[in-house]
Amino acid sequence: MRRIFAVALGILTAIGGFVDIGDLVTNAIVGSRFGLGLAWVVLVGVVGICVYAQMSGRVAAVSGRATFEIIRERLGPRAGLANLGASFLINLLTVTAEIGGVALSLQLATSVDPLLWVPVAAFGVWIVIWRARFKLLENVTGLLGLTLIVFAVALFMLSPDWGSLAGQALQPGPPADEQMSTYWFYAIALFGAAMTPYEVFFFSSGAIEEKWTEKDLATSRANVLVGFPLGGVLSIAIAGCAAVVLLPASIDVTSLSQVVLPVAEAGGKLALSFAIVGILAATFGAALETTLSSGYTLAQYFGWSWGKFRRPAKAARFHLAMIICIFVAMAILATGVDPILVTEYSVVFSAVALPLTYLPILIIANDREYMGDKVNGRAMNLIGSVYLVVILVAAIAAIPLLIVTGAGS
Amino acid sequence: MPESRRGRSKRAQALAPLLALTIVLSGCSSPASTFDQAIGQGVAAVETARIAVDQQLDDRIFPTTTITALGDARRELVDASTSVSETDTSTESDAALRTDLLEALALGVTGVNRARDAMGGTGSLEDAVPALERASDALEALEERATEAEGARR
Amino acid sequence: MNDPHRPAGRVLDAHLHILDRQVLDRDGVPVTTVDDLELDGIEPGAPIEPDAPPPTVAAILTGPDLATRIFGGRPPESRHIRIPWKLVSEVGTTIRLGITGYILDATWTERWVSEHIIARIPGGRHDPE
Repeated sequence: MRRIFAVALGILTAIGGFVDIGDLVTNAIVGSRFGLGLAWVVLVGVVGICVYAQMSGRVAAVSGRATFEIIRERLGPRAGLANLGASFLINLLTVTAEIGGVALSLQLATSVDPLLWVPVAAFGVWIVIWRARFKLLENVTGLLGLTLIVFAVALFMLSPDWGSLAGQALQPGPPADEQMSTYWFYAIALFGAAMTPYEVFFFSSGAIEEKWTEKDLATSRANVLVGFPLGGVLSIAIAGCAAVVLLPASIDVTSLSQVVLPVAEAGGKLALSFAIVGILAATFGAALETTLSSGYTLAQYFGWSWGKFRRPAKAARFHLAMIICIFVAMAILATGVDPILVTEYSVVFSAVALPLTYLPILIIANDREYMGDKVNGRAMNLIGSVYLVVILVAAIAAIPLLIVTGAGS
Repeated sequence: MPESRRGRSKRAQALAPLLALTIVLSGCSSPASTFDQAIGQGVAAVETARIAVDQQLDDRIFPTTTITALGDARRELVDASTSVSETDTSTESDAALRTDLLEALALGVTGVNRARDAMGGTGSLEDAVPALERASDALEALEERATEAEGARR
Repeated sequence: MNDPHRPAGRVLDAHLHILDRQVLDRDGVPVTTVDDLELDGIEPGAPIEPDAPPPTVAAILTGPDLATRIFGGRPPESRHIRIPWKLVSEVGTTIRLGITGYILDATWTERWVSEHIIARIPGGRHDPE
């Protein structure tokens, strides 16, 4: 019974934890502009993140080593530092986007200017990281994030023309008034939103925080293989809601208030309150995960003592690094930059940075020194290599498309 | 001689992406595309405001969310007006389009402001509905005109 | 096979198995990463005599040695932070020390940040709840 409960809890937190500000915003934008014409990308991204998370969780559990320790060992100090720099900066951008997302969702509930919420959100993130246990913060935000299921419920309540939605999903391609380059730009953004690198730093370091052994691998596999695809379904539901309500009114999503309008349309205040709580929990949870990830990457590269299982004074540099990151994110948001814009850039650059962490994980997962006889099987290597190609193509195409499309405008 | 030629081709290589970027950027900032973008932005903002106001009248949405949505819509409208105001035109018809577009966007701002005021207790929300409808109609008419102009240019 | 210098036991490649590995102390607490190694028995730049005894690893270096390995150059002798090799108890996917890391020079920044900043913030010395 206990074990079933543990698995169920893990799956539920994986669903809630899959969606963050990047998924919310990008899916709503894509839904409002392309309908479900990019739903296939979510599918590709979900399978990718399953492969990626599964490999990094296995590496962490078997070797006891987290992602960036391994990257430093394998790439050496110089290439490792370049990798750290890129991954860390993009992660910092994501921290900024998530804290901004918390402020925006608080604005939906209070109509108070998000700039005033930013310090509150930042302090909230810090105090939870400072005081709460790892498992607690993961479970609470994951479970509250589950209220995002209201997007799927709303889609049913809107009683859309399912045939035309399916038609959009099955015949991918841009609608008449959109360009091919814009379509592919958003395909990469959506891919980056589904496969953000921080999820992997967090997953592999979390495995060490919770002292996973090889025995826990089965549980983790169930969490990932069931939870993430259901999270993907939520993502598609968000796009679907936008496609049904916003696309016909030619509303291109540019703000979080537009993302929740379809939910209010379908289910009134009750549904709306679920959506706001869900968005708040999802962004807050992701803000915790990304902030921790920034501490993890730095500490692992430099060999500092790290981890939430230690008291802060026993992992001092790790905690100091996270405090500085939160301050930097606050400073960026204090300039008045639109958090939605930060989010859009963060998902694209996530796609750019993905190969930097994916490739080392793929190599280590095949290294017998670390993995013993738990190295990748043939099927896993096949799918891992296919994704390596996908990830490389997306990373190379991202910046040119960003320039050509003027960031999708 | 070969030295300098290589130097020149290297420089040309370095300039090529810059040139491409310039073409792309100037392509983005031609009056027609600025106007198209502003019309799209304006339509999205006005329609968002209309949905939010309708939902508010139906009591399906929290007032805080309505106020937020209206604020976001107004920001988009002002943003669109600014970029249109700052566009130089080279033909009579473009200049006329600019004037009408600014007017339509101003109509939108008026409607959104009326709704925001009503949310704050000044005036009634019902009055905002026709104002927003007028803005919506004006923008739609401009959208058609812009499409026709583009057709004529081709 | 009959190489007289071939040592008994497991052969480690310093570059592959030691450099950039995580160093853990007796209790499994991370101390640092192996930023560089100090070798005894060879002079940098001097030719190595064919029958000279093999060099031995004297210490793990850290601190400024990371910067010089990345950007080149050598830190002044006094700036090296050394962990004597005789403290190493085990070399695996990590390098384990036989003592507690908290007293080593290599962790002085950790101690400084802990004592002057983190421990002064309320809750800094408590276990998470």
